[in-house]
Amino acid sequence: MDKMDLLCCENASVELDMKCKAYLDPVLLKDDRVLLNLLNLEEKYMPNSRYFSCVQTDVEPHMREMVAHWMLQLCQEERQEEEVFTLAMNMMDRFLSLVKVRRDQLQLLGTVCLFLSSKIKESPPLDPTLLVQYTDNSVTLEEIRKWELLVLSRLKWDLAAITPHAFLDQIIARLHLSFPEPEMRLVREHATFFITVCATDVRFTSNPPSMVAAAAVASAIQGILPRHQSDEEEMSAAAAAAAAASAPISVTARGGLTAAQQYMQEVYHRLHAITQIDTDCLKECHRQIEIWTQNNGESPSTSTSTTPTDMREVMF
Amino acid sequence: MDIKMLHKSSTFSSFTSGTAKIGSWFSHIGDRRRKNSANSVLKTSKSLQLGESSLASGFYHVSESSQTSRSLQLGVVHEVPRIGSDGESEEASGASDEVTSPLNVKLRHNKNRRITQEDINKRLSLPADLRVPDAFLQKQSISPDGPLSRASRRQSLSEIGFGRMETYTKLDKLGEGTYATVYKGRSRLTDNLVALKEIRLEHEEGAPCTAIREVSLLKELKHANIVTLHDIVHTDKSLTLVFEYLDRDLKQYMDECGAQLSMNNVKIFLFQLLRGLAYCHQRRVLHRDLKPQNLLINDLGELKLADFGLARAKSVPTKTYSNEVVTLWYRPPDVLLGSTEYSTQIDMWGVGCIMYEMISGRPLFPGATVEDELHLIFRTLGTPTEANWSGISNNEEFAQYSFPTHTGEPLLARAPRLAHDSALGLLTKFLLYEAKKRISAAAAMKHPFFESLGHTIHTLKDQDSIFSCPGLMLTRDHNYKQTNGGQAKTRRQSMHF
Repeated sequence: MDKMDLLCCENASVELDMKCKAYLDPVLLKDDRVLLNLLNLEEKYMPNSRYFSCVQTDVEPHMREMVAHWMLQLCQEERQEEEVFTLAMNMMDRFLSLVKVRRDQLQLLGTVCLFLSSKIKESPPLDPTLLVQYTDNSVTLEEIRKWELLVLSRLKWDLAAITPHAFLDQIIARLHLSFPEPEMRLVREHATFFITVCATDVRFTSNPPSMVAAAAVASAIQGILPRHQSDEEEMSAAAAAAAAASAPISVTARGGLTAAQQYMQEVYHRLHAITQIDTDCLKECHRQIEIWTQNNGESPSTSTSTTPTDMREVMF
Repeated sequence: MDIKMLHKSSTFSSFTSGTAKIGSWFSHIGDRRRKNSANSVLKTSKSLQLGESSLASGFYHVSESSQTSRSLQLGVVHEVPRIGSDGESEEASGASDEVTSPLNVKLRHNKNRRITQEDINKRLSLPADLRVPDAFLQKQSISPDGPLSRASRRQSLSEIGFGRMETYTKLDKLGEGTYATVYKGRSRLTDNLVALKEIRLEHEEGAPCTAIREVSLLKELKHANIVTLHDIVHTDKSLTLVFEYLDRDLKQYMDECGAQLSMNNVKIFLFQLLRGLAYCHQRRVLHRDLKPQNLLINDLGELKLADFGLARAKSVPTKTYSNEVVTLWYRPPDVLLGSTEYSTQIDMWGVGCIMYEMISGRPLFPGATVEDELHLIFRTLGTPTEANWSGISNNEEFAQYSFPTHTGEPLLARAPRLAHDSALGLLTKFLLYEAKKRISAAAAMKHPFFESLGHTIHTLKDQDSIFSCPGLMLTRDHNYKQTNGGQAKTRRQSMHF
């Protein structure tokens, strides 16, 4: 099974590999002020998570989910980078926190948010005529143009929102994980996938991006661990190696915890140290992701899965 | 592997045809719901998911959607066409904009209390030099106190004149580009000069990416060495970005000097450039288009980074950019050779070129084509080898050019002033072939080259001008004529939009 399939989408694995990625920039990763700035700024871009009860009367949560899935598929077919979708969802949620829309305007809003998001993140951006086609001509170019200005003005042009993706490399670099390189890539890819998943689900809109990113990383790591479980000693060694970077912890069996559980304890501990987010909140967010994967992994092949966050199991 | 499995239903099975008409599905849901009892709602929506493929065609022409009441008129576009100058976030308020709260929140008993301009400015958190129209002052005197709601504050800002074109008088045209025309202008609110970047919106693709990136990034960047965006005005046909006006750019400054800048001024300008860049890089913003024309300078000698149209928030870029990202002269060799790795170090090469140009009075690598540019670089710094650029021997583009082996020329021979104050030492740290090894903006600020500027320059707050440091002053450069901002007709500015 190919790890590329984890992007849950298509067989774009080859293209994904060929896409250029910025190398990990030490100026951005070694400087704690970068992470601090992200943490300080993230709340500024958060939507009001109660907009369905406070603002909207016609639009309902399941419609958001429907439009979100449509937007996600569009992004995948057009090979947009992951953050285009997440950023577009952020714009949509923030707009819906401010302005009441009708249900038949929701897809138009989603289209415009994708358009704007691709303008910020991709070059060249999505072609508006193509977007119109994707809506089966239910929106017009003229509407896209007008609504673009509407979204821009209502969001006061504050479009460069901080999304969970921005935290991903920051968090992974600071966890000092001791996995071998292929598994490190898996952790990153799984976490990216979970972040995308969270953006489709309205329940995650109340969580700050840093929390979503941290929980996504935790889920990804947990999904990787079973590989090591066969060899308990290796696990302990991994935990010890991970712990060595900060305060040493005892890896001998404590309170009947398995090595994997211990390892996760340490991961949570560090995630808390990195993001300052309460460990219980992190665990709750992680649990939500697990629930999501369980609910969405109902295909027969996964019924035997015991590790729901292991996407290799869930997806196939 | 197919997404359908992932999303638990065949909701999007029609997607294979490449289209989806969600609006009409929703209209349908609405219809069904009205007919059904509340209890069966769940069932209804489920049946929708299963029987969707027929819906997609069956409800193709739900005309209701275009006929029913418009809860959201498109005219709204013109209603609130501005941003405040404050950056106050509105998002979390939760209140729909349609609820307009009255201006008078609390009435004061003492109606005779005079409302001064100062009060208003304080109340709306406006700059102190703002001149509020008399009519507005009179109106405000009826409702002087009490907390100001966001909606009323915004309304007030609009009444004062933010976001309105009438507020700005166009003066001379400064330049023209593909997307935008830049005018010098004057704000009727403050009487200050402003730069008006007018962007036409006739283009098929709507608001240009460059404008969207520039504005959304600049709103996040508040620093003494980054140009301030005051206001945005948009109408049906155009979008105008209102920037603070600076008298000239570094290119003009160097031209006006005729010869070389004094070493003190080189340090002051370079330090400000690095300060602005370090601030950007800490916020994951790369400039990507550094050149003297994009560095604006006022009469005090304050330098500000401008033109962020090519910058964008640093995430993981996955696609190649257009080849014209950086003006050739300041473009790093790795980018010239087709590298698509865009990281903070992409900006540092350009800093080196600008530093050399200020010290020597001549551009370092004024190449006309990519090949010419590379040739100039290699002739001066030596043709790269595996020793100073690991991986270069495998670079296909590099191999294709088959450059002769240059050993390089000492930069000191071309610019003897580099011997002073370890300038050469700093310059060579910028001009490294391997991007990863180039010095970062933050580290460069601590280089001994800047020692003569004193230590207080390292304790400045983001918004403090470098000239708030005691004893730090611009040297009057030889031949340099002070202009009073009135004769900017020959002003050259980057029109690379």
